[in-house]
Amino acid sequence: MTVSRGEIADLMAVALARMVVAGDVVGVGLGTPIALVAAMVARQTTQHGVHVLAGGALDVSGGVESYLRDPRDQRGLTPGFVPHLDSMDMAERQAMTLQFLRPAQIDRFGNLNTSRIGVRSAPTARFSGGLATADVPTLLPRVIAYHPEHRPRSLPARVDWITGSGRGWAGKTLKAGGTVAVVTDLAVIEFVEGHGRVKSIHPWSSASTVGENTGFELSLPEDALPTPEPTSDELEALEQVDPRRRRDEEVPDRTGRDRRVTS
Amino acid sequence: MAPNPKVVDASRAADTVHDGETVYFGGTVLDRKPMELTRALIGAGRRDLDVVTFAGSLEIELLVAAGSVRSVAAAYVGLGRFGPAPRYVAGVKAGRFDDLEYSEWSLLGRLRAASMGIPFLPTRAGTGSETLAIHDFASVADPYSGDTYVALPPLQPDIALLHAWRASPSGHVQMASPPQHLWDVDVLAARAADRVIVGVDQIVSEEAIASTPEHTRIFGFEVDMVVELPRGSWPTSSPPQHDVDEGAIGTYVSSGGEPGTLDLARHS
Repeated sequence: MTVSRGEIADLMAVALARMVVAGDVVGVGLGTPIALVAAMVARQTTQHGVHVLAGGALDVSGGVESYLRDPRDQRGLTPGFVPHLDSMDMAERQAMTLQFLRPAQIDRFGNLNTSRIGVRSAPTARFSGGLATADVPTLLPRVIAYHPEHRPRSLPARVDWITGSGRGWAGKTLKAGGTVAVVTDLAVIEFVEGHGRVKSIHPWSSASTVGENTGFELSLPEDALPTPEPTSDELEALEQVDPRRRRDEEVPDRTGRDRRVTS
Repeated sequence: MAPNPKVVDASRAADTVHDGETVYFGGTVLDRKPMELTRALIGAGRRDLDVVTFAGSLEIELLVAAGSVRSVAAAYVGLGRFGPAPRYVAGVKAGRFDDLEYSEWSLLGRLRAASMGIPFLPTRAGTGSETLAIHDFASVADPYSGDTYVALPPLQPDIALLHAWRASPSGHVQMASPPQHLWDVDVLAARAADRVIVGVDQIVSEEAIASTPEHTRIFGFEVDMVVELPRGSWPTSSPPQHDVDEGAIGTYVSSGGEPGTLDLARHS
């Protein structure tokens, strides 16, 4: 079974959307269309009451393209704009509850790397930097990661650099849950006490493919089911919020890789 | 009319920046970058700058290409949808300057502490992060709950360079309304820094400012110098004047990071 970029982007987006719960206020960072589409699909399908804050604008109607417009062209589409420092305060006091992050690497603790490979003074790779990747896992109730290229170097035993700690923060009043799960192009994995546990496996993948492409040991519960295909409601919502399929841009071109996801 | 020393040209503004100073560059990713002021600094031969920016892009590229940089402190350096910043990445890999990566909270929190005039800002953000460990921040116990927080010390840049829509001779700075995403980070940097230089697309009269006060975001007493620089943020955006020049940035990327492609004079 071969799979296209579009099918991967669709299933990743809906798998993320299904983790949005009633009452969530989802913050979406810069340049992560799958995260934005997922939050908007959740709002359109099962969680109508959730709020989506992206690019400084709240609950923009009209789809992904509308979020990318200049604020002056968002009149009539949004109830209002949130200054960035205010949105940081919302995260710190947990008025914002969830963010989807796209790291370069994630390990079994849910540690996230968006910084570098190698030593800081002479790295072999330097990514663009994490913005709030270090911050939100210890602020928000939940962070959910996604990675469109599931392979051992993306999901290693230990990330090369801990930009954001996966373990969260526990104080007397507020608690942050850290990175609770990762959605990849092969599976959905939950993090429980320093351990990765397969929640579901995508229809085009298998337990052995997931295991071979993960750099740390995974538990595979008996009840791990196939990730449900997008429902007709979800497909309709995807088409409405992202008709130009910006979500596909985050999925690498599969040329030469199709065999790995072929059964 | 009394002479107003706040309005200067770019080379006079650059003369007030000294080698080895900590310079905050305003704007975020491909929006509102003070490109002409950056070119003026490079033209003045500035060296050993400790560069600070929340989210850097082409201004960092020019500074690195010119060898003006001793360190870069940022939560992001890249070209947004155009991918990595080639000169910056090459410079980091070669160890040509100190890569002082920050998280968003730690950099903006330090600027907020400076802006508020407080000794430190406690936060839960970034506990356990190796990026925070670079900076060796102290922790602090909440005297009420006993919980432990990161204690972010103030960061007061020697100077902040910004680009905005327009300003009056007395230094009142206006931005588009509703304002572009992350506009308030520029205002924060202005309030954290010791000295502030703002390049604007237009200098307008005090009367023009007073007739549109809803656009005013930084006040004259917070600004040291104003420089009229039409298209001064090119090829990054300057609302409401112009959007990002995607063609020019594409040309820069496909040239592999040739600074000459970012020469405003060739495009005016």
